[in-house]
Amino acid sequence: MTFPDPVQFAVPIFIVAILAEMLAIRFGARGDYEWRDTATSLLMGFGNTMAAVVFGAGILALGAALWEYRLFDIPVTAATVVLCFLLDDLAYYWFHRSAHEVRWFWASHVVHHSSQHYNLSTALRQTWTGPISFSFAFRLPLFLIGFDPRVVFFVGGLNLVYQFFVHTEVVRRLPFGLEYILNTPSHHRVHHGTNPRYLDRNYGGVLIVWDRLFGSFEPEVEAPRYGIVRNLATFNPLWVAVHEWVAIARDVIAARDWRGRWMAVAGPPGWRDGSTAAAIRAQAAPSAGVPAE
Amino acid sequence: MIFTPLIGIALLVAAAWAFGFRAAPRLDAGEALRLAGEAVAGFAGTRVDLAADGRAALVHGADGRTVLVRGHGNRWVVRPVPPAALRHDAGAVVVDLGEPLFPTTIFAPAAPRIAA
Ligand SMILES: [Zn+2]
Ligand SMILES: [Zn+2]
Repeated sequence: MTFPDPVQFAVPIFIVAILAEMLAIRFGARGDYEWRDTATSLLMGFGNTMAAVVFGAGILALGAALWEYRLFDIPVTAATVVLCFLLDDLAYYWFHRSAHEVRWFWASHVVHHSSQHYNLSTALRQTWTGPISFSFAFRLPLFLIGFDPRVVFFVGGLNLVYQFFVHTEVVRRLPFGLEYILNTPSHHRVHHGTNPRYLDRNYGGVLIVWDRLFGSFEPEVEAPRYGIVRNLATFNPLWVAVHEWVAIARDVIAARDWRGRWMAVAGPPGWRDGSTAAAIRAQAAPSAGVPAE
Repeated sequence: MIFTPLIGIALLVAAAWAFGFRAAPRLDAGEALRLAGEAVAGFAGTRVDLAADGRAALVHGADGRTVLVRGHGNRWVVRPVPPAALRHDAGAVVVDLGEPLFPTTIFAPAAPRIAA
């Protein structure tokens, strides 16, 4: 059985969807674009696929090698593909949470959050340094459990394609109670928000139930301000790709002791200047304007 | 061909430009105060110096801190300004944060200086 790469199939759909969203916004739908911001986002996406070409074979080989030591022989059936999809989504939750809470992983993932815009082109703003940050490590248990590597990569692609469509302001809320179980445009807008109450919330890929389960869920109650705590002042793709790695290097050099060096790499983003998500939330909590619940 | 996606990228960027997603809005004092307060925790601005073109502002806080608001496309970038990053040059105020790829911001004097 062969599995297609869902992302390759989806690229023409992505292009048409972005054009449709731009048109919808021009005709009054909620949302905004900026042409240079879009150029940067799309070039980041392009570079991400280039990185995947360079490192992909190695990661495939690693997955296949681990699969040789699998715990179970799992046949490829509809049921096991669904199970793999669910477990992959759980692995994605923990990958994504680490990507926000550990600076080494954040240095790669920050790229996705570096736009002050939130539209379908933002979805394609992806890291160039994912393989270097070892973010693929979170998926490795799936191979060890015994899921066929082709299935693991297939469900990973499906997850990515789903997430493309949540990056929009055009859709307010999904009907039929879907907001309870799925990561939706509303939930993911919160994830991209820099409002203190929105920092480091809603990590889910396809399912939002993981956030409800592990205590990181936050509903959309105020308009999100998109971006990062210190927004970039350039559209330069290379700087977007490496700026946090450069900042880590600078902080490691400036650190006075080994604890400082360790926290510059493995602590939460913002540790050095006291601008971690927790610190910002604590500082904002007493102020007015944040409605009580 | 591996570079085919670049054609799609060029098409979408051209479409964004053609649809008019290329505004460079101007700041007013009220908005500069709001942006500075939102971006810098615990900061409350009391006075605003606007750049003549409306694309940047220096917001001065009650606590003595200064915050720069600077246009970036149709959004704004906000930074606290350490005293060392501020200098006066022939009547203009120059903000140079020393941050890579962060442009120097120059606030021209409000009125031409008349030689005494
Ligand atoms: Zn994220
Ligand atoms: Zn996102």
